[in-house]
Amino acid sequence: MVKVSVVIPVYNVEDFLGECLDSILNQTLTDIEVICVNDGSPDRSLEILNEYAAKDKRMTVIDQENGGHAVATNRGMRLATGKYIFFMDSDDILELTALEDSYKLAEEKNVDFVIFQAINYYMDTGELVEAENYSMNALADYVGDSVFNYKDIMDFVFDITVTPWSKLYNREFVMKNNIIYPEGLVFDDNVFFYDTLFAADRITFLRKHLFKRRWYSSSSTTSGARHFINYIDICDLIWQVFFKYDVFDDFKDELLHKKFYTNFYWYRHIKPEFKQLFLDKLREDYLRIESDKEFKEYIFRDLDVAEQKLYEYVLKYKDTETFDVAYKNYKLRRKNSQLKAEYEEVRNVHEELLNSESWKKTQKLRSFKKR
Amino acid sequence: MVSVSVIMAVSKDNYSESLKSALNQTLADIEVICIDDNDIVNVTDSAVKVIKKDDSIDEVKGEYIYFLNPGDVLNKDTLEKAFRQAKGEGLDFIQITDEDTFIGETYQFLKLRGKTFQMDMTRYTKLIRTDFIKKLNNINSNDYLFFWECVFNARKFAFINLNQKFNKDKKDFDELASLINVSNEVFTKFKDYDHIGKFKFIIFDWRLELLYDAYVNVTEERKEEYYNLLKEDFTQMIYHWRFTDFAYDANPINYLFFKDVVYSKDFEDFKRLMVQYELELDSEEVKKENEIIEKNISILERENSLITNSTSWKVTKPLRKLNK
Repeated sequence: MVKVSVVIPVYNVEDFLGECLDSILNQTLTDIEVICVNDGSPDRSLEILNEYAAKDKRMTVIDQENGGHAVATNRGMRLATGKYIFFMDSDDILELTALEDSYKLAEEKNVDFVIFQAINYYMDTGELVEAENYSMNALADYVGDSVFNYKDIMDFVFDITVTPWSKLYNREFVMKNNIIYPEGLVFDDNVFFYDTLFAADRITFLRKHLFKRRWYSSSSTTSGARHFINYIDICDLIWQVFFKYDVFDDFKDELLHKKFYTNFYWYRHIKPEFKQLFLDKLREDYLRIESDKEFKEYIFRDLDVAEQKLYEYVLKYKDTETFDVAYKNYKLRRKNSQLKAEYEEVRNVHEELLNSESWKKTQKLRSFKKR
Repeated sequence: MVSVSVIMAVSKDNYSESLKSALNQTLADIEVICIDDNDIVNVTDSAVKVIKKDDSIDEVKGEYIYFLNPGDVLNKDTLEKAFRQAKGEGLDFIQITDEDTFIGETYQFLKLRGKTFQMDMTRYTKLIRTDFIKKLNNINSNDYLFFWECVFNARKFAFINLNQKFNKDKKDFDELASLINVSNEVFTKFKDYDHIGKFKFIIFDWRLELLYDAYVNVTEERKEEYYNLLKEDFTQMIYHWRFTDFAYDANPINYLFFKDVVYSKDFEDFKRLMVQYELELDSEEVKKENEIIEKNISILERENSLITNSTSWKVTKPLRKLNK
């Protein structure tokens, strides 16, 4: 059994595939297998894969009809035989010592998976830029060298990037828990990650930037494309993962935030021609909540009044033009909630000051001054 | 000497409570006149005079007139208190309200100005001096025209808070439809009295709020009909009111209603726009509330800072350090 199986789903990346494969095949850890699944690329990606495979026996190329990131990855995962598994993105670059460093740490600490850091690589300027979401310094400071599980890091659960390529997984751990990527959807890494997070007993953090995430203008999360709509389904699946491990209550606020706040981020950024589709799909999602009285009550209990209204608006206003007017109304109501909370705070401070020893004791001083 | 003549126009059988309340007034020396063209009033009380509509108002003996709406029940001392203030201050009319706005001062139109539009414009909420009313036009016209005729001609009027409740009549379709013409006539009246220059956009605002309210109160089946009436009138407004001169001074939310009526393709389109309009109205309310809360927050923040920067606070710093 090889030490690490690298699974690479490949789609339409002829410009970057070479650099990606170079970074994998030149890893300092040589006892690896590389399984590439070409997901029906219309460009020269398959040719490039075959060229590389011809020169390196560790590499296998599978070609299939287009089915999406999850389908391709799951297929590669089924063919993997290594002790550990690493999921690579075909347009990014892995630091050459990444697999060796993370493998050694995983073996030493005997963990279900290792988390390591990534850095942003802005192609046009060649800049490498750190960002907290990929560096996770707060978590790193907190856990240090220790081995932990989710219960030890409850406050940091949503600070860990969900991306698959910043982890090295023990393959048996993944297989025995039946964790796969939900097929047919973008944002599928969200679901995979939370499933592994809550299933794992032993996790550790490697404080090194071992992965370069390439930024260019047409990547799938920045284009306003139709598949932003997937977020609605993914949000639902994420909720299901949290229910599966019985931790929904512990993270209720953030989970509500996803369904009643983040969803609208995607709605606002999707291209205008897809907005109606998005709204219709979101309404279907909310109707499922509406049809289960108990569940709705459970959700509404911790949902702010403004977001409760927004939920009503999604159900009520079917065309996007009217909904957009309703959305503006919601923003004002949200501000209203925030202002009311702010006012409470200031008023409490005011009461405290007026009732403080300091203020009461100096009452005579002030009345004297008045005269 | 008759102080107040109470005049009640009776058209159906709902007048008896009102009539009783008029006869039970603490104010002595009142006369009660029922205008009854259909022989509905059935009363043996000699204090009540029943006349026909065409009988002239010269019949009225009271120094002040009060128009009583059948359905309104007067508090026992309403007429006494209102009469006392009106006579005492020599008022042409006194407005009876249930709140404290405008209390304590006497007014003419040019003093109250735009705020006049906040007043109740029905004839049933006022005690009016008889000699004053006799010189007016529009006595038998629609309430709105009568109201402005009073206001424009009054040398002195004031307000009194008597916690007196008045019923808001529910208007039927024809009455709601008549508001379209009536409000145009109010516009004309302002022109006749040469007040149009300064009040054009206030009348515009008032008219649009009035007609939006009317539209909302029209029954579902006849809303399309009302919409068509509005559209016809509003489209002409563009020329007759030359509102483009002042539309920018008007409240944007009212202007939005105007545009929705005029530029909507058809009733279906308009219905959709009205759903949005309701939301915009709500947004206005929330926005206003937000502004108030923001103001209150900064007031308290300032007070807190005054405390923590005061001598009292500085002087007691050691005490706080100790308590820590």
